[in-house]
Amino acid sequence: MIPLAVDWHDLLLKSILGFNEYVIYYFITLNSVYLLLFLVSLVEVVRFVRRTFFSDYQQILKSEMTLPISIVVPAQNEERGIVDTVRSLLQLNYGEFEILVVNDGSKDGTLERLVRAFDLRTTDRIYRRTLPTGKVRGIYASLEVPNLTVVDKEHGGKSDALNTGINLSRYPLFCSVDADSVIEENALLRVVKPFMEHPEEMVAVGGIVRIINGCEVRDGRVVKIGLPRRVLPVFQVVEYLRAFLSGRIGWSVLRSLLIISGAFGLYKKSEVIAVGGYDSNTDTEDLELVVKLHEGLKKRKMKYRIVFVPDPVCWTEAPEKFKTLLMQRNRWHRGLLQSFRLHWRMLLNPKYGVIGIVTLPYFLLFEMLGPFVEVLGYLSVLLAWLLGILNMEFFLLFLLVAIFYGVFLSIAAVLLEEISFRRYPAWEDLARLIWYAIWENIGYRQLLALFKVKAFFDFIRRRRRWGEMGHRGFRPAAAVPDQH
Amino acid sequence: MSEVLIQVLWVLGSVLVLLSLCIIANKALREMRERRGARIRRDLEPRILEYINGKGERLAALLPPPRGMERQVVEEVLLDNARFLKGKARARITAACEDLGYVRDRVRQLRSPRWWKRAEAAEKLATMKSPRAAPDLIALMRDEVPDVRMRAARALGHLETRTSIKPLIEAFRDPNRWSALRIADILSGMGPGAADELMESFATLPIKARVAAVDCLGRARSHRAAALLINLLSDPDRDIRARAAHSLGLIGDPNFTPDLLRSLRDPAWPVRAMAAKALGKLGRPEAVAPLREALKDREWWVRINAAEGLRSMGEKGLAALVDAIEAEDRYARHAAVATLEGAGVLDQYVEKLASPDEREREKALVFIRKIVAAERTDHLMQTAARHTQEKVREQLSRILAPGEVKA
Amino acid sequence: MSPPRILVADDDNTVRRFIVTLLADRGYEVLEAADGEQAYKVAERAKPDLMLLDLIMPFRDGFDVLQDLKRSPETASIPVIIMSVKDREEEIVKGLNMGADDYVVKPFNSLELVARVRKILEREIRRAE
Repeated sequence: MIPLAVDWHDLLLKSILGFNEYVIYYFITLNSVYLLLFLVSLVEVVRFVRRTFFSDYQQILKSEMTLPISIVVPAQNEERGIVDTVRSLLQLNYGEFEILVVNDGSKDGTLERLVRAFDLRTTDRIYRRTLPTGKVRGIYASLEVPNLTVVDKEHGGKSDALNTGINLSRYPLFCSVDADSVIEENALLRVVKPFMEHPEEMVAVGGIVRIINGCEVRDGRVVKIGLPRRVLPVFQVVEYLRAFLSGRIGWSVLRSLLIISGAFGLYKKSEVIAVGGYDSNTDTEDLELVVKLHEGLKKRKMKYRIVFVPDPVCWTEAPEKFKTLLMQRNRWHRGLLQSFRLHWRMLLNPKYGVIGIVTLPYFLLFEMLGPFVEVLGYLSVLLAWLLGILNMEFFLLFLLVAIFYGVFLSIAAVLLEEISFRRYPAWEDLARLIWYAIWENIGYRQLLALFKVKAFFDFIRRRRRWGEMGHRGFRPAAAVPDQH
Repeated sequence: MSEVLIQVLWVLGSVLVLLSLCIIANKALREMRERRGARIRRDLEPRILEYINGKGERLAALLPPPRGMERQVVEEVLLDNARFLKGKARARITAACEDLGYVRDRVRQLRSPRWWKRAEAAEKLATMKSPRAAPDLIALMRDEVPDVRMRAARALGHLETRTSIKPLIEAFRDPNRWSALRIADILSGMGPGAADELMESFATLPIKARVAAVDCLGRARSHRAAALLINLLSDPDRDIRARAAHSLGLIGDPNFTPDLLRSLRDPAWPVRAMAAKALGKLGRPEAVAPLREALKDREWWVRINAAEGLRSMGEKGLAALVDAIEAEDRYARHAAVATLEGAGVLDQYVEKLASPDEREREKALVFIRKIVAAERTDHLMQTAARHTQEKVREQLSRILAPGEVKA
Repeated sequence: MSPPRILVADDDNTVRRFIVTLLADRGYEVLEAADGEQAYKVAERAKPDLMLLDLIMPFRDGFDVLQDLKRSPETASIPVIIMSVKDREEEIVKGLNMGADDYVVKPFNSLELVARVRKILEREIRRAE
């Protein structure tokens, strides 16, 4: 009947317009939350730069009271770089520390290379299997390097390897390090400082992860810092600046830091053991660990801190190819969804403080539902244009909140970087950063939103392609699941 | 409505452009300043270095009076070099800082309304080491910002004058544990005078500070603190007991042995561990048997410290360790073998297998069989595979072959 | 006779510049190296009469460089004074056992350093005769 047909058409148009309006509000809210985080981070970074003096680290280095650290490096099929990684770890500027490399059933020459390079001998170490792990085949020690231990075990996955390392570690603090990360030489001094300042409360400390593509590396050290040549990694550099410097620090100040990158994080061993160590039930074990820590400590009503140090500590390789980036972000987002499903009880639960009331709802709305809103938002704007109902001023408004606001925040992040750590000294690099900060919001972010939508469907279908990636070694752990 | 929007867009656009310009300007300004600073430094540094190395009486005489950025650069050069120097050269740097008015300026900055300026001033004064700053630094120890207090404390620590000690000990009461640790560091570097003062004020310190104070006394190797420390071996707090034992070990008087032997039976394992470590350092023969007993302790730290202690006691200790290889207690066996391995004793005996002397070889074989009976053969197996001498490899392989091992 | 050549290996620019001034004023010719690799290369090429070696350096630390120098017969005879902030007993003993002729802890006394340098150089001259 004709009247009904008209209604239907009208309804469609009305809903598209209504949805468009909703999208506007969404973007305003999202970017304002980012703005708030940015401002909080700005204050904290400036404060941090002001109160940190070089001599502090010198004192930590020389003090007898400095806490010793066990560095755990899970490794699978890392024959190419493992010896270099260990060598550069040995050069770290720190008093007392040990390195535990856990060879997680590598099918290549990882173990052989280590044995040869460091003259390893089998040894006996009595240790308590505090955390359940897979079978350990052997333990190796080096005569010339007394603080290196290599553990050979059957394949069990990254979490299993980390737990094994924890079991065998000697010291009260342990540091998880990815086998392909390059750690700054003063990194340990920097992340241990919060532990020295609040020894009873501090539970975990994370630091800034930077992208190594484009940097010159020699002997496990970054000798010259530069931006990558290719476009995709440069986008990620800007993204990391925004996510770490102006995002994560903000969360840390608000006492609700959820992510400490597996590429580099320092933890209090006893607390990690108390929550059962690392789990293999999600794709991003580092995120899951921190969430578990928050949950466990809040349940026990203990006073604790999990903080983020604005200091750069670690360099990691960013995917250069589209497909690799897709797989990485897919895994991160799936891991986020998995952790969420496991800990849904914390949502809006006042027992869990800021995390329950603010952070988790934020993640739900903007990280999980957000990508849908965004993708649909762009689609509906496009649809409106095609149908001829697109309002020019609406479109401008949309551009304003969806793109410009974002560009503003990206450039603000670059500014924050410039006034604080200035790791990119070249003028050309600065120009490229600003340029890409603009374009990051026109294409890259939208792409990431698409990835997340796909990841959601993968999550629903419970596809966990962990094994498929296995042959290329452990993927770098979750560094940026927040802030698309 | 669209006009408003377009205007907003313009505004936002301009803000963005402005922001980018700010970044660029900031960077450009900074680079200019750095370049200028580097130029001034290149110009002035040689003369400053000459002064530090002994030329002339006053730096002010060698340079035209520095103004503006030059003042900053000269102070920077002086402080940079102060970091790694001591003795006359360092004293000359302090003299120059006083002479050119840097001390005076920084002391004035100690009263700045902005806390980071105060902290920076204290930091710089710490390197300048001028006693003229002492009274103001002492006053700053009551600053409301903990960072400022810490830096003032550190600066006072560097001054090493008697007057700085009391306020530092006062600061020990600071509830912030990090401060207490840092003050402990500072005090232990200040020599016996600080140790004496610490002892006097000891009873008045809160518990957390006491633990750090005990450490200080040990690190300062203050013998006069011995009586106090021995008393503390019976303190109700186990941390204090443990640190007291540790400190007594650092001081190193063998006469402490009887008291430490008692601590070796303390119910708390950290105390036992520290007592074992200290006894090892003191090296008295009457400690050998109790340490051997301690090899059976339930806690790994205690066992390891006991084993290490025995190792550092020379012949008697090593003999006790070798003996312990056949102990009934599995933990004791492991600890003993691990320590002997680490000390290279195992390798020594393996080398003896190649000796032309029959008796030496016998002794070595006996020893090695004991190790095998203790079920710690990994190291031996490795050596059996790799040793350069055929004779040694052969003998080892025979011992390690199942037939030879006695249950 | 040409002035004795001394190689200063330290990653800290300020320390190097200071020592260069200190020694050059007293008539020595001073060579510089800013990291471990450079230290070894320059020592091998220029065969200085004395080497001041820092321990904490990028690329190869002082102990590694010392070990390599002592392994090769051409460089083994170069006298080495270690200069480092590392002041623990184990480290000092290790350095001396590895073949260093002296170990100076930072912060150091500049006049003392000069005296030690002179003493070793004179000893070398006497040995050569």
